[in-house]
Amino acid sequence: MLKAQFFIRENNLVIRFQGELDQHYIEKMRVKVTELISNYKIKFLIINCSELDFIDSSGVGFILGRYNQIKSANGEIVLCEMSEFIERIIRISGLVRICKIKRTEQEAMIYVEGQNGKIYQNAI
Amino acid sequence: MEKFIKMQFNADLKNVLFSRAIVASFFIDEKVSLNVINEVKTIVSEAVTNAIVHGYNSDNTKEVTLNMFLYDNTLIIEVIDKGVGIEDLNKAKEPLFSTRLSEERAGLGFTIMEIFSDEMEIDTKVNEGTKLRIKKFI
Repeated sequence: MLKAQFFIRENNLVIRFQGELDQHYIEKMRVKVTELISNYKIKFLIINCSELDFIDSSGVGFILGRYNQIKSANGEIVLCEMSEFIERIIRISGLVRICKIKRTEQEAMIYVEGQNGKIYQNAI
Repeated sequence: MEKFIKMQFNADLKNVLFSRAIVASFFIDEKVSLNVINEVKTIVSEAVTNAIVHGYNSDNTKEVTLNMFLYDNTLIIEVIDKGVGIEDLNKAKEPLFSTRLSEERAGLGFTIMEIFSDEMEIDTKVNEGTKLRIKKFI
């Protein structure tokens, strides 16, 4: 079973997954999240994994797909609140190289606000 | 032989969750760490997903076999399909390689299975099917 809560603020999307991210559950989730990212012009995606009980390579593919979607907008993905085993999968898959990892959702938000700040700075 | 389970189920992706639950149930009452159970769940999730998505092209009328044998401190997992088989096994085992890149596949299934297992044997023949046999010391 997979459920998700979505929070959008400006160009940030926070997803809190509940359950297991495998091939079956990803299929509907992918459509929903792709739409949200596109409709709300999301740049920063924070994934809160505190209630994520399982992820396999299908879940990794989903995250990679979202990364590809936002990277053209100079976006970033931040993973937070991962359990030890989830973090292991993220490291084994190499996602650690393209996603930021933070302990808490709050730290993830602070990081993203900082990145947003940098973008305004460059625009001057 | 200490314990085994043999099962067949239809090649529906919903059954991948079900097969992970079987793994969890198989280890109830066994003195096995949560970490090891998670590793076995992940192996089974990857292997069964492969059988369904690649072996059978998600045809949910087809049959996947999952067997688990536990003896001494050795676990044997077998995942068998009678689907399309793997044309180029070396390519298939290459990390990040996928025959379905347009579907957002990470190409990491075999890599993850190899990392979590001690021995992995793949018996495959085009148009006949694939048999994955994994040994893990618990």
